[in-house]
Amino acid sequence: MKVQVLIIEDNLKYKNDTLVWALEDKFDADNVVFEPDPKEALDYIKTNLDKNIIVFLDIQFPKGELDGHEILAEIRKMSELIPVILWSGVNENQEKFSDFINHNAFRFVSKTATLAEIMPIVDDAVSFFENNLDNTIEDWIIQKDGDKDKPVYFTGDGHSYSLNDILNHIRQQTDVGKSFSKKLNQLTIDLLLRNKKRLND
Amino acid sequence: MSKQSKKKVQENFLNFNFDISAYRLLGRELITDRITALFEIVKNSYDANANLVEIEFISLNPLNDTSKIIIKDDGIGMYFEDLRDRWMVIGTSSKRRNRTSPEPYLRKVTGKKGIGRFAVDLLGSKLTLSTKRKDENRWIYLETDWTKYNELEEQQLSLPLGMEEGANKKKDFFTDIKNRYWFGKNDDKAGHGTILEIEDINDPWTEDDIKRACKELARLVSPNKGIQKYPFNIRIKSEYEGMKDLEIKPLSYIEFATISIELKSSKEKETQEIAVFENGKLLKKDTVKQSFGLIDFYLYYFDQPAKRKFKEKFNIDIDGIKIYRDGIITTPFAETEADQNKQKDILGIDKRRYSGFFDKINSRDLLGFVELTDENNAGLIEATNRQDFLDNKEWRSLKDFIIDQIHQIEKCLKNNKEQIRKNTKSNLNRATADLSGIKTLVKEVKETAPKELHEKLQLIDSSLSKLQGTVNKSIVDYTKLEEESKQKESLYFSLVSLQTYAAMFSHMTKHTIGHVLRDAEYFSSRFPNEKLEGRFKVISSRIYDEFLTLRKGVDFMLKYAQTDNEFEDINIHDLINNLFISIYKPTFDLNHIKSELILDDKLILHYNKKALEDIFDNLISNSIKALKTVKEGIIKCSGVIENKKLILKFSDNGLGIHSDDRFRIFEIFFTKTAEDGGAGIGLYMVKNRIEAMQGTIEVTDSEFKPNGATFKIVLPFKK
Amino acid sequence: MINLFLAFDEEDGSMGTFNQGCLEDFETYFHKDHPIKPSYIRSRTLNPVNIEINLDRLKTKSFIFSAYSHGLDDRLVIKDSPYIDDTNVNLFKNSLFYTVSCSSANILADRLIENGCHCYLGYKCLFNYWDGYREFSECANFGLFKIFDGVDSRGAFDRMLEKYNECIDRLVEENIDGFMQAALLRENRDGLVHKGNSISIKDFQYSED
Repeated sequence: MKVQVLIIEDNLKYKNDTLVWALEDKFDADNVVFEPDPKEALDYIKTNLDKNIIVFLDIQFPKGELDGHEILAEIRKMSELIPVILWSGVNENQEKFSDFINHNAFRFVSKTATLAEIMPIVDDAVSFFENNLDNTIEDWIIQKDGDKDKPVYFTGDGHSYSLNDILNHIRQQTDVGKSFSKKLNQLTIDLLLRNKKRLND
Repeated sequence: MSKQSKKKVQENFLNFNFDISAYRLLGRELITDRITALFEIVKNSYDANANLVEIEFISLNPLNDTSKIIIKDDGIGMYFEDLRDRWMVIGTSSKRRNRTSPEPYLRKVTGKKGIGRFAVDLLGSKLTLSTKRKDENRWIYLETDWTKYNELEEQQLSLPLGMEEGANKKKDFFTDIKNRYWFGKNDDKAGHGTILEIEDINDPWTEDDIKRACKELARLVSPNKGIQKYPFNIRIKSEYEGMKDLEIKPLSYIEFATISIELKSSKEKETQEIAVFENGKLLKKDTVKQSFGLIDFYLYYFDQPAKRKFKEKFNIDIDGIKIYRDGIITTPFAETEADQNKQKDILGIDKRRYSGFFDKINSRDLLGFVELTDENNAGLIEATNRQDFLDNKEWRSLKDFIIDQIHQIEKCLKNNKEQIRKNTKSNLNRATADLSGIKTLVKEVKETAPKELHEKLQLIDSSLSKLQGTVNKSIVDYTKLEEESKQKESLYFSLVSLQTYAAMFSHMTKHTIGHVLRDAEYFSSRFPNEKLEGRFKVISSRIYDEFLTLRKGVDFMLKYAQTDNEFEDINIHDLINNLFISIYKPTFDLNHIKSELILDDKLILHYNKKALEDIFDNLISNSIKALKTVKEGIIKCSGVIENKKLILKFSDNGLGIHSDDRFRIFEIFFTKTAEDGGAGIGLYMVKNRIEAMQGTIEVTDSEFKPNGATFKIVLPFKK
Repeated sequence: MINLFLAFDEEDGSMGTFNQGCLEDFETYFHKDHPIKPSYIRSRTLNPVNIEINLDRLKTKSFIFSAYSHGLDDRLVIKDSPYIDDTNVNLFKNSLFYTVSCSSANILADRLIENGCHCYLGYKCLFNYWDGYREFSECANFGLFKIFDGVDSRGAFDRMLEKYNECIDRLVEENIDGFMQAALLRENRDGLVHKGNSISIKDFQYSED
């Protein structure tokens, strides 16, 4: 599974931080992007939504420009399916909880953490891509060819959805978006139960 | 209030308009004892524009059929409609809506809304109320028998919770109980007011009880009556000596006070007296009218012996400063609080940090009366929750003013202590000199005295020597004590700087650890690896740099543990530069602050290094706080030599210093940054240290106008 | 001979294509030489008035009615306006009602049965359709075809469920791409409901005389 890492951090000193090195070792240098400008970073995400990107986000951006929380919110507007790891040197407690709750931050990592502490979290993010059903559906849609704006899914209550519509719903995790993974889960359960029955017969 | 009139007039009834739960809630919960009850009733009279309230205690010890308490006021009284629609109704909003009493008095209402009437039942169970307005010709009388309500309450409480159908019919409501009313003769043109005649008294009133009531009531009225436009007096009548017909006067406190300050204001000149401690004396000065308006302020300080004497005589506690308006206590101070600890310190006297150090006074050492008037101090508004004043500019300004006056007293006390110390010391020295003198005299006498006296003279001489020894030892001890005290002070100051510094240092360390940790981790887990040689090199030099910086910081910290007085040659430029570039750099980076140093790097100052570092350490700390909300902060230090003086300017482009505070910021414990951990010691210390160097420091126009602040420091220069 | 009405809203904006597809399936089944001649009611004439006219003519004779359109709990609609609801359920006395509309099993079915309809086959949920997958229409039509083959309605219901399962399994096994569609088919399957008595085509047959 191809994974990229985007590090949004305005202090250039961190460009050569050991964490960045460790990430490069793991994912290849080409797949690790260090972007100090938040606007550029958001653009990058926008144009690469079809890739699996893990984001490291420094919370303490300068006052006046977008601060870390706002950047997280902007990312979430694009998709709920991007794991954003908050990276910070300040006292965590307050930050931790509000961002977790409001904008679904993936995890929280202190700037003084060891690689032994950080890399498992990165692994979790990779697992997220692999195992999370919504991510799977997202990938499935992404790799499809053809016109993704043509309506293909119709419901009896008059709604119609194109693949891109479904993609958006899943990324935004709307009720409709969430229903897809639910339907898949129910299918899996159904298959298991019927298989069991067949085996019993 | 003759009982005959009852028989003549037709019987009419009024009913109370509320239910039992409301009654219990309001009455019982809010007024807990009979003194409070009296308090509330008197407040009601005040709110009714009374000039005089008379409380008469009749035959109350022991209780008998003639026992009565009569509370009579000459206020505006009530119309029948007022009686029916207000007195008989719960939670009438008249006091909620009108925070002032009727014209022309316009007194700020002190009584709690609508509970006065329940106060009565704490005194006795039968009430005969009579009331009359000036423009009515007859008095109205109302009879309330609280025992009926008590019975009903019992009845209601004993009913099962689940009401059966029939039960409803049995139960009476409060609203069913009838209170008889009637009118007097149509012959009284001039009288007005309200009289509460309470019978069936609940508990006896001893002499002590009535004395206590007097004391409590005394708190209602300010001792400084001069200002009252419409006076308010309370009289007590009883059978006891000294309280037969007693006007309740606030006690005269002045006789016991150790230090008294009485500040008045002048309406014509629009000036306010303030107290300033200057040149060893506590003086009164005139200053302009302050934002809170003209006030009179009476402040009395009591030292330990004074407190003891006061308590002996008056048997009340010294309990801080209270605010009165037009002669009556204001609501935040009006609640009778039995436990002094519970009373809120809304002036913030005890909140000042590090109380206990350096002659700090707290509210148990002070009695104060702030006299406001509606006319002059309209900006000071009591909060609707009655617990505080509205937190506006005028209130804050008043608080600052009061604290400042207390501070002047503190300065005076400190100075007194100093004087005593000096005197003691010089007295000791004089004593030793005197002893030498006597010794010499004795020697002379010995030369001309007969032999028989020699032994005696010898004794005297050796006694004198011993005495001299004692005195000298005392001098030594005393000097040592002084030293210790100075050391403690010095250490204390150091500690405070340490506190602010420690925070910064931990921050620095944390960052260092952060980097070093991962670098070391990476190295140890991947070494050896040819491909990563470049990275390993980078790691090793990074670790080295980090530790170097850390070492500088540790060195800096260690200095604080030593209180040395050594002087040395110091390169000012390097000293400040070190602070900017090494010690404070991480903090600056974090807060996006740039530093600038414009100073000849050959300037050498001969002084105590730590003291100098302290000065700049504090100035920088101060600036960082001021720059908290600024995007691009600048801290700039520049200096020139002029006429054998080093003139330094230390500036930042932060919040700035209000022109009102230009002088006060150097005062100890003056802080506007308490939330950021500001102890109010920094700039005081800076000024102290600079003045110890024979220099000066002041606030000048900011280099970064209109923002920011600039300190101008002048130091004598010897090289 | 049987009285057979097949209603399709083939012009509908969202389900139109699906409905059209099913319509064509039926047209193929009832080719010109087939003994049964169904009456087709298309979008243009799918309205309460027309339904009344058509059904009134039958008087009390039995008939089979199939409807492929949108629906709600208590009605079938075309362009949001009802064409079968409380006001005309009584027309369906003596019928077998077969529908591929959403939710009508919840309330409309009971109303129909209360008013003399023998049997209802329809859905209690939202019906799903994914363009390009014949499985949806095949399963949707299967029941009715089985009834025409002579299977009784209860049996047809069971066979429909089997058919759904077949399609689901096939989609999943053959083609990993089909899992989404399989999940939607499963939803449809679980929404399928049979209400009323089990009757068979025999009960609707009559001779030409």
